Amino acid sequence: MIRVVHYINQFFGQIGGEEKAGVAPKLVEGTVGPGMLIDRLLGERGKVVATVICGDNYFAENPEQVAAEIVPLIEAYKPDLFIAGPAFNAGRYGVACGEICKRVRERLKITAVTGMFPENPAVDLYRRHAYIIETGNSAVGMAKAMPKMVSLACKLLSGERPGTPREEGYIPRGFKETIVTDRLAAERAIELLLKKMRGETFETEITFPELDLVSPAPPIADLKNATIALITEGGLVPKDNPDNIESSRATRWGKYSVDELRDLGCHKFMSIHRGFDTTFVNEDCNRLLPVDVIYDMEREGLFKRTFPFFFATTGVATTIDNARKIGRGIATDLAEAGISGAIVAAT
Amino acid sequence: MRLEMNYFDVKRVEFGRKTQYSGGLLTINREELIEFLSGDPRIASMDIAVAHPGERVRIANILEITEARIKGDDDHYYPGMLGPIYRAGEGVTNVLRGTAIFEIGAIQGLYGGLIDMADDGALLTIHSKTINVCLVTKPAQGVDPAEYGYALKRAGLTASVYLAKVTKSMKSDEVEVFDLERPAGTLSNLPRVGYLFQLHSHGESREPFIYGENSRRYYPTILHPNEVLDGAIVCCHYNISTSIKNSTYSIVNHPVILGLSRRHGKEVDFRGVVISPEPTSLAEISRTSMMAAGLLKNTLKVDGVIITKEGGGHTDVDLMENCNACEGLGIKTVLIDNEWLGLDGAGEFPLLACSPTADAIVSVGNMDAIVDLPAMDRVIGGQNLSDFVSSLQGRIALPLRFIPNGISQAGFTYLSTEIR
Repeated sequence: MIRVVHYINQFFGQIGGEEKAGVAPKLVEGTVGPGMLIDRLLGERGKVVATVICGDNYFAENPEQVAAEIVPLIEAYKPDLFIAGPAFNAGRYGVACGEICKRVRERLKITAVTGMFPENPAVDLYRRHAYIIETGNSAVGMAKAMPKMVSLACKLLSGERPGTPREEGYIPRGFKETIVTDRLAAERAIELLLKKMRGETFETEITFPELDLVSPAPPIADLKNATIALITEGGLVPKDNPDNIESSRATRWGKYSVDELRDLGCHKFMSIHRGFDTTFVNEDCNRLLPVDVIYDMEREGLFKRTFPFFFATTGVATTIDNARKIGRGIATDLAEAGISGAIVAAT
Repeated sequence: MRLEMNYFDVKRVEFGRKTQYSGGLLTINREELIEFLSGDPRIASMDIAVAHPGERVRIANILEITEARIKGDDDHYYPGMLGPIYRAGEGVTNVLRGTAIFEIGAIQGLYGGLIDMADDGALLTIHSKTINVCLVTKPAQGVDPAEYGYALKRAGLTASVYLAKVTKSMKSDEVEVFDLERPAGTLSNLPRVGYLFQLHSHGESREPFIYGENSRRYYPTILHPNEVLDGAIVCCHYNISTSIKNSTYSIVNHPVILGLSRRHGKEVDFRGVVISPEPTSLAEISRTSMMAAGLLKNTLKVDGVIITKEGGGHTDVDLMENCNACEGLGIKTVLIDNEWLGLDGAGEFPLLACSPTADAIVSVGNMDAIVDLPAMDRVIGGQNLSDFVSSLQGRIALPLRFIPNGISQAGFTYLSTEIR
C-alpha cells in the first residue's frame, strides 16, 4: 500500500485565509481538504497517512529553515510518496510546495510531485527538482490536476518511465533527453521541409531561449587620459594554470600580470585552449594578446595607462550561462578599477 | 546525368584463400590485402579484423569510415583522390552494400570514435548494422598526425576499390538508377527543393576534399547530386572528432541526397546540391552564405532547402548565416544540427548560434549526453580510446559524441532529443 504524506497551506488546510497565513506547521493524521481526492484516486492502492499544513507567510519568511523543520515531520510517517498542493498560481504556496518537494527527494529519497500554474514564479525555481503538473490558475482546476498528479506519481513509484510533458501533463523540467526514433533524421528533415513549404503547421525539434542583446558602450571620450585593459578568451594562463582554467567549456577566468607577460612571455605563459592550433601562440604570446603593441601605444601617448592585469578564460564550447558569469565577473573587476576601455583578443 | 548503382548485398564476410564475392559471402585473403595496403612509411603495422552485426564486439579508435566501391566500366573510384580526375556521377558504379571499411588507429592528437555491435550501443549508430572490415593500424614512430591521416586515407580508399573489384562483370542483386532528367512538364507541379551541404574548411587535416582539392579552395559551388553519391567528395579530416565530421561512407550514402533523389519526380523536384565551405571569419561567412543562397534561389531556382553543417560549435554560425540568407531570399529552410546540452541535457542554449529565421530544425541528439555501454566480449582497435577511457573491455560510460554517426550531422542517425 502506498503511504502518502500531503502538504497544503492554511487556506486548503481549512484554518483560514490571508489573516491566518502566519500559522506555524501543523501535522494532522489522515486527510484534510484536497487530500480526500487523493485517497479516492488511489483507491485500494494506497492512502494519505498524514497532512502537513503551514501558513504561507510563515513559510515564506524563512523558507529553508521551515522546510528543514517540516521534513522530519514527514519522515516520521515513513511515506512512499509526497504530494504537495497543487499551488495553482499562488506564489508563496508554490515556493513552499517546490522547496519541500526538493528536500523530500534529496533527504528521504522518495517520489515527490506537485502542481502549479505555468506562470507561478516557483515553477522556474523548482521544475528541475520535482515533477510539477500543469494546473489552471485557481482552485477551480483541482479536479483536473489531482488525477494527473496521482497518476504520474504512481508511474514514478512503479519504476515505469514517465511519458513526455504533453502525455503526462507536467511542466517541462528543463531537460532534453536523447532518444532513438523510428525515422532517420534526414527523412524527418525532408518531411519537415515539405510541411513548411505547403504552409502547414510544423514543429521544430530545437528551440532557443530568449537572448540578451548587448548594445556596445559609447566610444571613449578622452582617450588621452584613458586606462586600457586587455582580455582574452584564448586560454592564455601561467604554465602551472593556478586557477585551473578549463581547456574547453570553461567555467572560470583568471587575472594575471601584464608586466610578467611582457617580460617572460612564453617562458611563463601558454595557451591551454583546445579549439585552435596553439603552436604559434605558444611561440610568442603577443600573437594572441598584443602586449608589445599596447606598450608602444602607451609610450606614444595614444592613451594614458595600460591596466597592469589582463584577464583570461577559454572560449570554446563554453555554455552561455557560464560565459555570462565570466563576463560579469571580469566586467565588475574592471568597473571597480575605473577602467575606461578594454580590448578583447578573441581566437 | 545518369548513374546506375549496382548493389551487391553482402551478408557475411570471412577470411579465406581467395578474395571473392559469391552469393552474399565476401571472402577476403587477409595476407594479400595487408600486403597490398602496406608499404607506406607513415604506417608502422596493419592488421585486418571483421565485426558482424549482433556480435558482442566493441570497435575503438575509428578515424574514418568508407564503403567498398568501384566504377563498373573502369578500375578506379574517388576521382582526384585515388583515381584520376573524371566526373563522378555518370555510368555504372558497383557497391558492396552492407559492408563498411573502418580506418582505425590511435595517435596523440586525433580523436577516434567507438562502436558497439550489440546491446545498447548498437541502437546509437547505423554502423552496428553494417559488416565492418577494420583496418587496424599503428602509426610510425614520430609521424605527424595529419600525415598519418593521409596514409590512412590512402589505405582506406585503396581497400575500398580492392574489395569492390571482386564484383566486376558479375550480376548485381539490385540496380538503382539516379537520373534527374524527366520529360518536359512533368516536374512543374512539384515543390522545388535543394540541398545546401556545408563542408568543414578549417585548415590542414580539418577539411574534406572535393575532386582531390581541399574544401577551403572552393566558393559555394553547384554539384549534381549524383556527383556526391559517386565519390566526388571524400572525408580527409582526421584532426577533428570522428563523430562531428561526415565520413566518406555517409557522404556517398548521403541520406538527405538519397531521400530527395528517391522522391524526385514524385513528391519533389530536386534541383541540385550546393556545397559551401565553412570559413573561419564572419566576413567570409557572410560572403559564402550570400553566394550559396543566391545560387539556390536564382540558378537552381528552389523554393525550399535543407542545410546541414559539419564540425563543432563554430559552424553553427555558418548554419545560421546560411539560414538567414536563404530565408531572406524567400527560400523555406530546414536545418539539421546536434545539440550541446551538457551531461544531463539541462543546458539552456542548445546551439552555439541562433537566429529567429531558424524555425525548423531537426535534432540529431545531445552530443554531451553520457551513454552507458555494457561489457563486450572482444575489442578491436586497442584497449584505450584517445585520452578518455582507460580500459575498454568492461562497462564504459562516454559522451555520445564519441560514437561515429551517433549525432550524424548529415542526418544519418535515428537519434533525436525529447523535452522531459
